Amino acid sequence: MYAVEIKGLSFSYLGSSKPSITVDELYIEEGESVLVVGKSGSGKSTLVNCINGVIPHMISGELRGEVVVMGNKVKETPMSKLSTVVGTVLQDPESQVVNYLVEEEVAFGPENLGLPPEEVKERVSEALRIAGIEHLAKRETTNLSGGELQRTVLASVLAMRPKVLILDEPTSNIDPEGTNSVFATLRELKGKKTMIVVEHKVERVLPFVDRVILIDKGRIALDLRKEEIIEGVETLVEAGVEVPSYFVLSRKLKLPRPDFEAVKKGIKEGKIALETPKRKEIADPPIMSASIKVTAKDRELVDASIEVKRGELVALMGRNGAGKTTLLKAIAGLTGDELKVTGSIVFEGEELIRRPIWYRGKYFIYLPQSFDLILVTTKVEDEIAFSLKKRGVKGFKQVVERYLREFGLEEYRKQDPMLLSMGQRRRVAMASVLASGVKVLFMDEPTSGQDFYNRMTLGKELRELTDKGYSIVVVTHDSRFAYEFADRIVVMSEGKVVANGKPEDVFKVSHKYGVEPPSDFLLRW
Amino acid sequence: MKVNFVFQQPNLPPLVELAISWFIFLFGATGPIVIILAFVGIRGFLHITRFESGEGILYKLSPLTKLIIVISTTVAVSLTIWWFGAILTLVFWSLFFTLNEAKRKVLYVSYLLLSSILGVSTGFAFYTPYSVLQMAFNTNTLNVIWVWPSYFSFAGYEPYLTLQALYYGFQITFRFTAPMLAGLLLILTTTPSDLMRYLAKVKFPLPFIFALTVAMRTVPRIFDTLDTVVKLQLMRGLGYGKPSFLRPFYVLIAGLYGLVPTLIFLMKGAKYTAIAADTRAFNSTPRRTYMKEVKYTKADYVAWGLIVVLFVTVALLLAFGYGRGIPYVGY
Amino acid sequence: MGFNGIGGYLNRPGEIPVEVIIAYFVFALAIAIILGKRNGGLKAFKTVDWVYIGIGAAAAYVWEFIIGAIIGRAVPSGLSNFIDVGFWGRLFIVFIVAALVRKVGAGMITLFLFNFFSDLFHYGFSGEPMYFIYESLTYGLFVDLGIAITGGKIFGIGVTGSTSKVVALAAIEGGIIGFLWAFPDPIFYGAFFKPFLYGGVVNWSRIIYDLISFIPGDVVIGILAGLASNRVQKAVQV
Repeated sequence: MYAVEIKGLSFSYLGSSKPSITVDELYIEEGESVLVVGKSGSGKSTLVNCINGVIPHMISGELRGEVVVMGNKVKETPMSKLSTVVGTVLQDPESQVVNYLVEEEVAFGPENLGLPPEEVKERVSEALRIAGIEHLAKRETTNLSGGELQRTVLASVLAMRPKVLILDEPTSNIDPEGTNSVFATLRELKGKKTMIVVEHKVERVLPFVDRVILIDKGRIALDLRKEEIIEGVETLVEAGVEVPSYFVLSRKLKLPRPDFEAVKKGIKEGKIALETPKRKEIADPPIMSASIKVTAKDRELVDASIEVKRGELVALMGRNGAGKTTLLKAIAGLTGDELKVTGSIVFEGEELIRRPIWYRGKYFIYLPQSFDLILVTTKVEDEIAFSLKKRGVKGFKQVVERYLREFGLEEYRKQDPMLLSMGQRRRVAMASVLASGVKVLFMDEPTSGQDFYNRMTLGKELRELTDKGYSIVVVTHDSRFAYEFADRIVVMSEGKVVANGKPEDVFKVSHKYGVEPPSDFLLRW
Repeated sequence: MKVNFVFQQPNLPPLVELAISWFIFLFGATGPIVIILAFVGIRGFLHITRFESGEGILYKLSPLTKLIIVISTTVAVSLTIWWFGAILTLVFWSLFFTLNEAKRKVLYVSYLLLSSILGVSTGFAFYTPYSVLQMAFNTNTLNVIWVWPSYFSFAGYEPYLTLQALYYGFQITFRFTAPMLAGLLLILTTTPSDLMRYLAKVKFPLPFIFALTVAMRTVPRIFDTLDTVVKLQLMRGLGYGKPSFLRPFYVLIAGLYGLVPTLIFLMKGAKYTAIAADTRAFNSTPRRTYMKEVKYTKADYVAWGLIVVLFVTVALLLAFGYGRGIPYVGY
Repeated sequence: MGFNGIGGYLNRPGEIPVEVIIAYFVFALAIAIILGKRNGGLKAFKTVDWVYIGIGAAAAYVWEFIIGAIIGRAVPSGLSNFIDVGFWGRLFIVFIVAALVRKVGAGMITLFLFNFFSDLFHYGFSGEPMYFIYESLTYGLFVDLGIAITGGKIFGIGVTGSTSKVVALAAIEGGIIGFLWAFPDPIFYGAFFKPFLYGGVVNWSRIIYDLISFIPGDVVIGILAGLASNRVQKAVQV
């Protein structure tokens, strides 16, 4: 019996004339692990939602064809039955968890099935063990890290003892260590469960899958055994999927499979020429330098200095809880009353530590990961004018025009920012903070949850901004992004700056602080 | 019955008097509270409305016991004389000292208590008819401490503010504060999931319990999100260049502007919450079971004993004529 | 003798006769049941609807009792009749939940849970179950009537036609329901529940004053809330 059988499937969302996914035939064997890749909006999530029953039981639309999971016709099987056959882990752990304690979250499913308390307990401890979070059982779900929370979700799904496990971008919103721990669990499960993993981190997931499926424009564009992946490299790159450079280079060297060492040797022997990312060397003195101590009531959170030069792109990296966000928030004046901030923040010679948030906001601005929260008006042009008006800038209309133009937003000027696509919303958010005349932009994890294409677009946009003279500090976990675009990397650990310099230098030591160097760098090292 | 008014209002020039009347009308006696609240801030309130685990006695009681305490308190204060409510208020207030991080919580809850006392008493005092005061204090003589402009009566104000009215309002306050503090203690010391389990035991419908669970988990997220939205607006120049005493005002404006973005942000996640619940068989059978059993400890039995004592006291008070000593009317 | 804060006074001077009140609530309950049945009852609610309601009830609670209460202190107390930030927040949030769920019952259930929440945190279930009945079958029912009358297309959501038509519908419907929301507090509470529960004095000049002063704000906020609900519903789908 196949774990998943799909025949003649097509699904269109309500109000859409074109199907979001069309699959003529797809079979997944029991115990097989499949990696599903593709750009955002390619139809990956629609496909997995057809398998776990979310379509048609929760999302309605026009569904044709047949999907059978472990012998159950999805269309005709109620969710309660399906939930014991196929488990689903989604991207954002925060919105998947509803209960107060970890063990209660894990017990949620078995309790819903009406199982006797003894069996619920047994399943809970089993699931906690597999997910490696027995020590978290009594913890509150409100103060777990992203990785811990996502493993709680994973455990809660495992407690249903499903035969098929769907993981829809399970690590997109969590830090590298959390990602490692989730992947470690998946490695354990390989062969024991049928797994369908939707992921952007191809290189990381490849070791524990058997097969790779590429979805592009709502269709299966590629369906390869893992060993054959090299044959699909060009197609994957064209479809906007992140493929490590050495895969591409292995193909160039006509190697039978991706081989990191062989590529490295090839580079050393001069068989392949590599371009090194361009970095700015800025001689000017920094425009902003901050030396900050942040203390909570009983402990010190941050004791760090950071400086930024004009036109510089700085990547701020480090483990979760290293103090990156706290440092930037403290500089911007966004920390709550429960934290005490002391030290000095000098911007172009002016001391700002005693200045309130709106004053500091003239010079630098903080953009949170959920940048939507910055959008408070109902028109794009009003959003861009917001700061200018509040600060009483004369002739702000011309400034608004300029930013609409520069960010390619002219045609959307009268539209509601909240109704634009994610990429457009991010541009509106950036345009509206920069229009106010700030010189330094702090961005918190703008690369999280983004696919490769979006991250590369973001990187280019940020480069253009720094070329115009803005300085940008970006918190990121994405080593490849930092290597590709940053002029300088600052690594924090336990509230202190532990490494600071050019990416080439920093990546030589950064692994000690939880920042893994990207394979692009290792190839050249 | 005729009312004798003894006029004791301070002798002030008419214009000043008018100005003060309007000031009280516009800003009320709660004006100073604005300043206090500006110090505590929104996050301060989070600390007295959210469960944090602790070791004190209240954390050991079962939610049902605490719920019974809350309801019994409500019953007790609505049956008895005002000072019994005041005593219960004091008892619950002092129980805040048994919580973890007690100092801060006591401080915040004291602000809340103070502002409630001021707010509720003036809320009653301005509107309570003289006939009620006559009944309440068993007197025909009322001491007038302030004379409102006659047109204030259009807003339902009584023509004069009397000492008795203020006293009356003050007494009424404790009908509200005792249950309020008891309720806060329940919330602060009970995990939301424990509460839900007890609700399930008394056959509260499952989807309602689920919605409440979601609500409980959402409360801190609302604060966090709204806090961010507000600060981002300030950072973008809201209130820029305005004098600092207007700061709270601009925080409030930012809060108003922030409501819609906050809701959009939270509601966007709803879809995924629903998928996560449905793919774990939520609401698939009405016979949902619970891993943890509902258990009572020694502390619960002691508490029930105390509740009995409370009702005996209430009965004694009623027997000795300390029932609803004042007509609970007004507002 | 009162239990749980319910006095049970039925003949205070000026109090609306209990028969009238009972007639209203029986009628309202009948409408609620008929409308609910016709639309599939609680079974029609999907899990996501319960999540919307849960978030809405939490937001309404936070707004009315904490943020609104703080903002309310800043509003001159004499103007608090005209500017009731806490109440308006509740109106706003309940409208948004209605726009997201668009099933008869959304309004009543949200109000019920909101009440439950406020009881847990603040009121200690004083006067219950009167408040559950009163608020669900007035504020909640008005919203649900809007959903029923528009056939689920409340605030112009799902209405085909020009943008200005949709905007006008959202504003008009929001305004009408906002107008209705001005009535329960003065009429039902001031002239019945207050005397009924607490033996409160019925002060008709205050009731009229309240009603007149509530209407403009509630209508304006109702219009804004109708527009915002339409917007939020779209934004959540993005």
